[in-house]
Amino acid sequence: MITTALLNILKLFLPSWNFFNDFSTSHRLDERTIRAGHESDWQPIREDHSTRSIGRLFFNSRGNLELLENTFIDRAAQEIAVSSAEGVKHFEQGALHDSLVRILRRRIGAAQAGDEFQFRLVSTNPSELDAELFVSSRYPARKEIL
Amino acid sequence: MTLEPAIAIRAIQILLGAGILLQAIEVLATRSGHALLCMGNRPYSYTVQWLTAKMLVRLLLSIPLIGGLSQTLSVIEPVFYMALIISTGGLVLRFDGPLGGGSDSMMFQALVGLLIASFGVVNPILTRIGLGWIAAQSVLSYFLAGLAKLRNNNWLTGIALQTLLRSNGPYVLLAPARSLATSQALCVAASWGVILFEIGFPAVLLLPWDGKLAMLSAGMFFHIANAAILGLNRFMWAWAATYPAVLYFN
Repeated sequence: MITTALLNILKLFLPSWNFFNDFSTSHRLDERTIRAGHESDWQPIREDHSTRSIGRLFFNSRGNLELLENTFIDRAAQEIAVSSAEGVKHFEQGALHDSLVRILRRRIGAAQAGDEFQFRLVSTNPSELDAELFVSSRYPARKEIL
Repeated sequence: MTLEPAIAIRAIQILLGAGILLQAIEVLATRSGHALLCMGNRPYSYTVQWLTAKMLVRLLLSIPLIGGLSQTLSVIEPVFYMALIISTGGLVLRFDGPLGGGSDSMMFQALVGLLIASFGVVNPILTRIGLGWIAAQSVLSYFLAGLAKLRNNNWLTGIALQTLLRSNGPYVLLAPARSLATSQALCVAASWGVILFEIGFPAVLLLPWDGKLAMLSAGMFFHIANAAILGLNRFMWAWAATYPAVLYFN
């Protein structure tokens, strides 16, 4: 953990300036609701906000939050892609996994009492089929995010 | 024509201050969502308070940067930059990376450069070194990005741009921009335009004044387009803040 922190500070002083180069593979968070034992279809989470307009040139608070959430999703996908089965278990207990659960709770709609939700991490590539990287356990869907 | 170092520094302060102010206001507007990402095992309410305090401090520090440090405050000018540098470091540690991605990285570099330059009263060479640091980061950022694209066949053939404009993530695309993806020729032309601009950016240090202005205008157009199409509005301010340093080295 200390190594990660030091590495992040080092990257701040010595950035690589290597981004926006490869869009061939991106990652997506899908969710589904389980209600009375019935699983809905997987749906990609989508932020429905008004800043997909030219106004975001000047102010883009929700768009930038969504970008940050997408960064967390990418980090999770990268962590899982290089992990063994043991590593995936470790991921499920980690802070990054908890952040994804909170992203879901923030974004999915109102739930009924007793509903559960599940999420999965998907890797997408225009020239290949989507690859399912990880499927979560079921979590109670509730109005409170935490 | 030349740009006096004091004017270059003033311009950097204004543009950088605007970027920091914008970030602070945007994060404050969505602090609950941001807190959820960085709370870890800490209580949510505590994290919201921490983030609010952090952003209010950054907002307050950005105001004298934009408005100009008075004679009194100029004595403690390095303290302003150190406070913002430490604050940025704190955010990076909490979020496991820069809060705003590349824009935060460049704003950090500008802060480091301004901090070095602020010691110019001790030794004037430090002003040049500070401005040089900022100009170097600006030039490097474009050149390295262009080099990476030049080595990527998807960029050379326009496919990378087409893929981006058709994608549903990670960038929140402006809806009309998607129609650009239907024209391969347009994507190829735009891709090569970006590559040539980025690879050629170091030449800005050697160009005469008018050439510099033309190159930097192209840069601003590039960042405005990215802000409109991809939602990367903070990048516009972060990179604009480096341009006075680039102009200074004439």
